[in-house]
Amino acid sequence: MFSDLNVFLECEKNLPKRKFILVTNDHRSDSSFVLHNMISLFLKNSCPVILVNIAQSFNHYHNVALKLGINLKKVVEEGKLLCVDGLKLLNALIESYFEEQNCLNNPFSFIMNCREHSLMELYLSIKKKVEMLDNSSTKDLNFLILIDDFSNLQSLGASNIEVINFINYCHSLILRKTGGCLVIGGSVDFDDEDSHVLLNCISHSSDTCIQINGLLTGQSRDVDGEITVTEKSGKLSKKIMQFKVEEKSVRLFARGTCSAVL
Amino acid sequence: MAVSSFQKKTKHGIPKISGTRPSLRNSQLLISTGVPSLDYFIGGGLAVGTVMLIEEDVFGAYARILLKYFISEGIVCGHSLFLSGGDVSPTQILQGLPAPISDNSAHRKSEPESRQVGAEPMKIAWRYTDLPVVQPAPAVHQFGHYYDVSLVMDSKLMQQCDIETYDICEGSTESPQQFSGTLLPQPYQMVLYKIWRRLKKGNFLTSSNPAQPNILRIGIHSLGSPLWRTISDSERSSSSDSPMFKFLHLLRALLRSAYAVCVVTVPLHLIQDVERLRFESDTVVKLESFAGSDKEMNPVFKDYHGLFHIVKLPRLNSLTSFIPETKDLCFQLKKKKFAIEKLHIPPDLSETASRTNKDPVVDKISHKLIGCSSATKIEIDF
Repeated sequence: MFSDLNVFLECEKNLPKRKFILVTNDHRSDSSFVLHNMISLFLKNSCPVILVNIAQSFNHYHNVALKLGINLKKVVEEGKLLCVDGLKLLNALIESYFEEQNCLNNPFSFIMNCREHSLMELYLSIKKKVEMLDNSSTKDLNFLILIDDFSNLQSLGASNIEVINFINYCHSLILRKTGGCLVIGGSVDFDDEDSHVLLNCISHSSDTCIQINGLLTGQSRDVDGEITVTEKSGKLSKKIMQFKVEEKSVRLFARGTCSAVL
Repeated sequence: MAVSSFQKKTKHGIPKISGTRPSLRNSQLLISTGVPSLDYFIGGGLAVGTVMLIEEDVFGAYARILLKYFISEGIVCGHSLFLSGGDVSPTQILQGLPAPISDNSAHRKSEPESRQVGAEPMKIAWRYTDLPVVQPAPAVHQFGHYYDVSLVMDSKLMQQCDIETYDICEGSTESPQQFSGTLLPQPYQMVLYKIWRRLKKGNFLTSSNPAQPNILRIGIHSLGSPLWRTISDSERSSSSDSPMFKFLHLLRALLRSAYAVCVVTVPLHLIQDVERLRFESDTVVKLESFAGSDKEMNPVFKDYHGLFHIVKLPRLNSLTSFIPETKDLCFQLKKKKFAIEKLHIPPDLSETASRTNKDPVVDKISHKLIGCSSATKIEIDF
């Protein structure tokens, strides 16, 4: 858990509830530290997490969480972390496809034939996990749905409209009476019109946009990039800070005040 | 009886495979790219289970050489290989592999001498006669080798290795294996199928838990060149690159749970959406050769063949990625070495600028000046 970052995002005391947070990065930066922070923030407050990992393996999340003091494999056993392991499902899909078995019940079967509502299966598998949470004892608690990379869905062949529909469906899951939080990450190529349009549509329905950008002046050893937080609900605000990710922590500082400059 | 809770920490996670070493940073298993200086700049080597993208120079020549080094290193280490491509047939690439430079020849010569010395009874330091002669570490366990591009790899050495090739051009004339539905358009699907079959049959998957795991090195040459495109897929979607992203993502998903590493070279100028390609791969390096460009004439670059850009390094099992000392790198192909070095401008040792006479760029500028004005040279005195 990065205390600097949580203070900046104003979620150190009360977890975001009924909120849709979009986390994006450009090609010069990496936003994964925000996602890792969200997972550990919720788990440390003993709120359950539903992790949909499409970009990185579960092992990666496990190893990073270990460094932040959480054993994800243990948490999975306790039932606090429900995982839709995208990479594993893709592997299973490839296997069953090449062995000519039926693979239509795989949530990622949309990559074989792009028809309408093709991401429905993936949504239903997330919904199933949410229902599992409802049935367990942690009913009144807040929970987190985290999808690590929506841009990978686009790479896998889903059209813009399908991705937008899918995200809106996922959004509806957290607006029910129990409440919850949806965090979606993605990498955006601003040169590509298609992905720019997709980003605008998703950020339109989001409550908070966290944008990670690399420095325009090029790479630096002491500054990784800039983090911009745009609040769209409640009090409207836009804040910018520079950041540096370290092995186990993240340092935030106002623009131009990194330790190497001062 | 109280039993001490202290236990000897045993490293069971990382199996020992020839030609690999664990990373010092995140305990990932690394293999060499075949170019030791490249290994150094990307943080020790390529992590097993990742995809490396080499963005080709305009002529593609240096990228092909890097791919050959990667394959040669695999042969020397006894790894299994899978090679695919279309622009140049994989068998042709295999025939032109550089030969390793062996240090053994030097050791062999010195061996008999040392024995002769040992045979003579020592008179002064006689206590040391019983000590074993220090043997240099055998070359097999060495990480990263040097290769001689002027020599061709010994075919006997290649026969010992388990090499599979797939030429996408030949493959299209054969009747491809049919599956219900389409995962990917044709050349991509067949390549993915061959890789998947290879991983499964060769026990390269981590789930198969092999007793003696080996590494599969996958090389794909010129992915996304016109030969990889089919008419049907350009009709179906607006972006003709899209099957490539899907292919790379599926490949990465496969490799994440396998003892395999893939190196892909891509002709950059033929691809529309380069950034997305970079998002879909783990390590990305870019070659920019001086051949045919203005930089060839620039005296700053006279010692080098091109610039070497490290575009992306993977974040594996950690929040941060390896950060090299500098990103201003350049490469030079020597007979026995593909050297990647820090770019530095050669020092101007002479006191007066006698260099201007030799300087081709300045010459060029001064020639241009003649054309537009009568003054040949503008001298500024301080």
